Amino acid sequence: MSTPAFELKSSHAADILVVEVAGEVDMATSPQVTEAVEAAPDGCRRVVVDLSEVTFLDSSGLNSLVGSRRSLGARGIELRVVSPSDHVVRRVFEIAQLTDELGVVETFDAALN
Amino acid sequence: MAKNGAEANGKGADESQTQAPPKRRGPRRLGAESPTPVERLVLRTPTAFRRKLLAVAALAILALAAVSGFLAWHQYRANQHRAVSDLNARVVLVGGLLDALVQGGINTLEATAEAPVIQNQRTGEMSSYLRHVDQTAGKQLFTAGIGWLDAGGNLGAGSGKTVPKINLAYRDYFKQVETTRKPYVSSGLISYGFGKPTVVVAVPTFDRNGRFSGVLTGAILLNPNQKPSPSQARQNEALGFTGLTVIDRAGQLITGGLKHVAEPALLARIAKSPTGDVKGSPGLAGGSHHVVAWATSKTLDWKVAIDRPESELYASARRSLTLDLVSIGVAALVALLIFAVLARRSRREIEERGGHAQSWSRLSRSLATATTAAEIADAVLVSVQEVFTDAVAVAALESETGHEIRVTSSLPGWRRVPGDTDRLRLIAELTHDGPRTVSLERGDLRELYDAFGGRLKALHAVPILDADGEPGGGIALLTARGRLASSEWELLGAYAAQAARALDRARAFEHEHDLAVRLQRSLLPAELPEAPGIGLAGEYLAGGTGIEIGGDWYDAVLRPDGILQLCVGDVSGRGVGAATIMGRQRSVFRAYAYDYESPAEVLRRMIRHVNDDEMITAACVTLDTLEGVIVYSSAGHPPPLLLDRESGEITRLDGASSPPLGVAEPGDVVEHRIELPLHATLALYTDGLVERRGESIETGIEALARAMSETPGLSPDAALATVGSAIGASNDDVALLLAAIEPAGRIALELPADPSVLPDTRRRLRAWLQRRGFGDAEPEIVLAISEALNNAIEHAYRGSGGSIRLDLGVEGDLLRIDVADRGRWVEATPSAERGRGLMLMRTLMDDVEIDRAPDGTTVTLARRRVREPAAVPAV
Repeated sequence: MSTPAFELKSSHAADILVVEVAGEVDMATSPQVTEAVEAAPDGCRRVVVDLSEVTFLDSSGLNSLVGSRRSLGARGIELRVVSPSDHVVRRVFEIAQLTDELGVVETFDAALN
Repeated sequence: MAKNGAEANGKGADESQTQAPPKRRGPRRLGAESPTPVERLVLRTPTAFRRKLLAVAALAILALAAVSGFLAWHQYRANQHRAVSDLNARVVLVGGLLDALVQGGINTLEATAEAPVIQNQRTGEMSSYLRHVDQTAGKQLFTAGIGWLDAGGNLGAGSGKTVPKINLAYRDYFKQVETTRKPYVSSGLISYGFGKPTVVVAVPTFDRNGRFSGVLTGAILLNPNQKPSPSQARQNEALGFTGLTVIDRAGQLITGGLKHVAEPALLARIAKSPTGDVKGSPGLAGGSHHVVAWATSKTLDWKVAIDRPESELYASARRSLTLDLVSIGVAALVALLIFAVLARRSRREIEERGGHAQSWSRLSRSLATATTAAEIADAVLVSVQEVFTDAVAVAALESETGHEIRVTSSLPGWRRVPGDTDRLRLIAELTHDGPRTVSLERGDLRELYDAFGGRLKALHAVPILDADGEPGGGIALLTARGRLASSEWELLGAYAAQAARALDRARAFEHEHDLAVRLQRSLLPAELPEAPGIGLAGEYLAGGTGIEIGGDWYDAVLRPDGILQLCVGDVSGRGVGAATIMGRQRSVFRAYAYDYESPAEVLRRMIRHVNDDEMITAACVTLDTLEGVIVYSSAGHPPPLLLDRESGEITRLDGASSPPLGVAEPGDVVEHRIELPLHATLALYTDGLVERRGESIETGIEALARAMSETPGLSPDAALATVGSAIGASNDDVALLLAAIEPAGRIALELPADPSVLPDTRRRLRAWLQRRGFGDAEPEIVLAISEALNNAIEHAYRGSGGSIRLDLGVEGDLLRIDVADRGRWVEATPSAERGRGLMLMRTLMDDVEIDRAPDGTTVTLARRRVREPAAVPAV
């Protein structure tokens, strides 16, 4: 039973940057998430980070998202995080009381609206 | 050995009762270590070859006899030839004599014819004159008298008493002389006067005027029937004139009653040549197998012949031939006889020696493999008993542990006297001063004498001297006879020498073997790591003897991350070379086992360190009690066995096999991962444990599996013993490593303080938590631990390396995890970021304690199996 590989995929949809993350987000991988998210170009309205395929997320991942939200906010870019409530990762946001602050939504579609 | 023989002889305490064995002569010494080359040749000569040797020798004698016989025959033929030549010479001589004789007769008659009384034809006086002549000159020749015939053939006068009035003009001799006026010798004719065979010599007479007046005749009476006197016969014999005969012109045998020669062909042959001989012909007078030799009388044109039966003529040659042949025969017979006697004697000796040699070679064989004093004593005793069937044999040898004294006998009714250890010791001591014979009737040996019921009278002893010349034991014979033959002493001495060498060898051997085993053990792990939840026990058993140590090994490496790496291997070949390779591979294994978790990867790395001519089988097993997995890889090695002690199921770890190291390519090496039962026994071993000559390796593996199943807490010793009793003791080296796996109270592991280890650690923790009944809470607990690890990595070391100790265990229904670092806790400014990890831990666990000490920080997390409803802060 090997750990699912960490994967990042970025794509643009109009003025929205979509970053799909898979695998485990920890100390080792969270900097990559930060980098991918903050790579949103000027003029981008929103960054959607899809964590549906993430199996593990710890405080470094949370910190990465919080930091990104702050720097994106400074550039006028919104952050939305997709994490289904039945998913293991969702609980981490809840415990950290970051569900609202980080714009955590249930679905990708919700994140687009 | 030998040099002490003579000295020791003098040491006998009581000379009157101590009889020295016969001193040996010649260069061989007592206790000579081996038979002489000649003995070896004889002893080794196979029976068939010896038989051939005898046959060849006999044939050679016969061939010599045949050659001698041929020469004798040749000589015989030469003798025959000489006998015939002899005859020839004699007939020629006789021919000459006859010529002379007849010529003499003619001369006599011619002289007489010139006498006046004949010339004047005074017949009245003539007769008395002729009588006078006959008696003086002619007597010896003209045995039938002398007569005168007138010109008309009338008998005019004669030397006889009467002169009958007869006319002999018809006789050939008259006619011849009348015609030729020359002397003439008649053929054999029957005399008128005697009516007997006669030869007549006739010469013409002339009157005073020279006119033919008549014929003067001298008649020679042939008297064949008259036997020669014994002295004459002897003379004839001596002169070789036996069988002498004269053949006249008409072919009549003058000396044979005027009989004609029996065979016309023979006569023709004789007539044809002046001299000659015929062998194997009929005799002149008939018969067969005669030799006839002849010569010609020139005067008479008669033949002189000797006619001898071959049997008679060749008698002497035959006698000498017979003599020769008899001599040859006798000589050959004698030679054969001598040879036969020698052969028989040597066969007896060979047989005797063959028996000794067999016993000797058996002894040599058994001593060659004997490595202890006890084995040597046993081997010597068996051989001594075989040869000395009339003795009680005792073999004594000193060993490190004391005395090895053996006693046995082929004597009927012999049995060991109980409680005779002291007596045996006494006998053993008596051998030290040998070689010698000691009378058992000696005062201080009386007890010994009585012990054997007085049947045995003497003790014959030779010491077994070690390399320093010190008695290391001895051989003793107790016999009813008072002395041993010198050959028996020789044999005893030789046995003692053999035993002495074996003893030295065994001592050296023990020493070397000890060294070798120590060396081998020094190459094996001195102690095995103590892994939580895993009891390890290893055993190495040197199957061989001497310095032939093997290349079997086992090893175990407990990695800081709690993973236990096991390896067992077998370098093909034996000796120091194999042990060296083994040592090298073991080091290689240890090095890679730290770096690589994968057993296949470890084996692949080990391949790099195998030289071309080396071949190694090995099995590597990785045990992770945290994750609960066992990963294994085998390179040509017998499968490790895994017993699930709860189900009793035995699993052969044979799912990942590659060729042996040295044959396999790195790509060949594979590994297989299976779940590790909570309660398990794992056995890694080398083939020496399970493989026996003539047995399938399956039998041994099953015996091992049975031993594992039936014996909880199996020790390597017990495993070796159980498998050994099932399939027999091993001659090969055995390396055996047993791992008993039990759920540990606590598991401790050291992790590098590096984020890269985190995914693996989480994986292992998840598996462990699930196995320990925390499956539902696993994501939360793993997250909490991760946060603690994050803290340690980030805060304690700031990426500067170092290690984190993770210690976890379940007590009752309480899970407790310690995460400790040895770094300096850096009190960073409080921040939301810093607080989140701590908050997560506190929320996810029932209890979180942080112990900050100068030498490091320990975070203790605790959580119950069943959690009280969590006070999750409201969103």
